[in-house]
Formats: sequence, structure tokens, C-alpha cells
Amino acid sequence: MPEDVLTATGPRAATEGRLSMDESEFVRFYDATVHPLRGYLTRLSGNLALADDLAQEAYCRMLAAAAAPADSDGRRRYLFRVATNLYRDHYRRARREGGPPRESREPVDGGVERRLQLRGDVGVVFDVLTPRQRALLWLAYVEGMQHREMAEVLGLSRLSIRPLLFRARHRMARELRARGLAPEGAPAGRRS
Amino acid sequence: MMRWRCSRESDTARAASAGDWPEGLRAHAAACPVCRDVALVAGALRRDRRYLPADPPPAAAGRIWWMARIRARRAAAERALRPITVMELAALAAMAPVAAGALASVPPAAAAWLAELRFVPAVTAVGGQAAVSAVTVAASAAGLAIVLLALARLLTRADG
Repeated sequence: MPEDVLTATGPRAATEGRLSMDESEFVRFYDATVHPLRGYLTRLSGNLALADDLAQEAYCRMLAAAAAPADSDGRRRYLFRVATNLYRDHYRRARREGGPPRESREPVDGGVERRLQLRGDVGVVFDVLTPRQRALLWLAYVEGMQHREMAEVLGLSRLSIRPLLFRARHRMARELRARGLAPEGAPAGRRS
Repeated sequence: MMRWRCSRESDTARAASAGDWPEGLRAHAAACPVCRDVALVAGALRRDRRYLPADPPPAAAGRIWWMARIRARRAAAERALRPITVMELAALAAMAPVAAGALASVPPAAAAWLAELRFVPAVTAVGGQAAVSAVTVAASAAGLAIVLLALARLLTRADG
């Protein structure tokens, strides 16, 4: 097979069965994004095994998509968007079938210690939030995304992000305080 | 009424996420209700990162890339075969009335024989050849129209 067939990228490539990135480019992108994406999906779904499945599927779809952006930041947002949509589909399907929409937190290799280790305070508090609230808080305060970027990832209007984020944050803060997980007085951290 | 925005919200979020507070911002965050929530939530999420799995994910990048490639090739093959499938369906649609017409217009002797075998209703055997021929022509015309429509759609899609 000629080399250009293996490496060609872009919309035409995707419609001809080729991918939006060549392998070395994808490996670099994957190394830079897999841990953030895995963390996001683990907190969104509450299940590490499901997060791994969704992440793998999100990468596959991004590679096959003719519309995937060419720049690194755009690709990252696109990947998070695909992953969010995949989780949303999974959540809706689980609800329709009467199963628990919030997955059990049991990881593949089991064990109470491992489960507790992955749970953490935020894991406990995230249980009471809606999937959209979890996604908003994670993208804003862990990924450090701007409102415009969050709107792109979540498929919402930019103007709706601020009130939605405010409500999610307020609810999480209330839950943290109710569980005694908020430090008293000034915010913790080192002074610069 | 509760305040729901503060001009220093972004600075507070950055400081709480990094765990590094510039002079003055900490005092502001302690006093401002909006920034207090931002600091609490962003700080909790920062601490939460250590609970997340740091082990390598089960699927390596190379495996995902090859999997995506196989899928893309399969999808491309399906796309390439789609016009052939459409043509096959159109051909079947065209053939069905022709076959029905041919069966309906068999010679009277053969029709009588078939009627004895209960393959064709007796009415076909005893007459009405003109009506049968009209049905045959109409059915064939309909089949031809379906084929032409399918071809036109295929050509339009190829141009688009």
C-alpha cells in the first residue's frame, strides 16, 4: 500500500476510509489527553471500567470523523465533546432500561481499598449532582476551560454556562459543607 | 437576593486550582460568597486529582489507532457497496412485476394446465387476456420507472 494512503488526513481521507491523524501524531495526542479524559469520564460516570470503554470509543470516533479539527486545542475539545455525548447516550440508555444511571464505583480489579481509593470526597459529593453539573464543574475547575469552550464541549449556548455553573458550584459547595468537607475560615493553600 | 458573579471569580478559581494564592485574594475569597464557593469547589477538585487512576489505561494508543483504521475501512467499504445494493433492489423491484406479468400472460392451454395444478386462478385460464396484458404493461412500466428513479437518485448523489 502506498505511504500516502496510510498517512493522508482531512475530510477526504475520512470519507475514503482513512483517519484524521497519522499514527505518530495520534500517539502524541493520546499521551497528552488520555489521563485528563479518563479522569473526566471516571468522575462523570463513577466507574473506571466504563470510563476506559468510553474513552477508547471516543478516540476511535474522533479519528474517523471528517469534522475533527486540525489544531491541538480544537481536537482536545472535540474529544471531550464526543466523550460527553457517549456518556450521555449511555446514561439515557441506562435510565430507559431501568438500570442505575449512576454506575457502581467498583473498578474492574475490585477490592474495597481500591474502590475507596478512587472514590475520594469529590466522588461522594458528585453522586448527588446531575451529569451536566458534574461535567460543568470538572471542565471549569480541573480542565480550566473558558465558558465558550465548555459550551462547545457540552453543546450548550455560551450564555447559559454562567448560571448553570453557578448553580452546580453552589450545590456542590453546600454538599461539601453539609458533609464537613469544607475547611473553616480562609481558603486553604500556600501564600505567594 | 444572592449574588451570583464576582469580577475576581476567575482569579480565585485559578488560585484555588493551583493552590497558590496571591496576596489579598485569599482575604477576598473568604469574604465574598461567590469566591468562597469557587475556592471551596476548585480546591476540592484539586485535591481529588490524587484519587484518580494514575495507572496506564488498558488500551494502548497504537491499538486504538489500528482499531479505528479497521473500522474506517469497513465503513468505507460499506459506503462503496451501497450503490450496488440500491441497484440490486431496483432490479428486483423491476423484475417482480415483469415476472408476475409473464406468469399472468401464459398461453391458455398452459394456463388451463396450471389451473388444474391450482397454480393460477381459473379466471386467467378462461379469458380476460386483454385485461391481463394491460396489467402486465402497467406493471412493467412501474418497474421501469422505479429503475429510472433509482438511477437518477444515484447520479444526483454522485454529483453532489
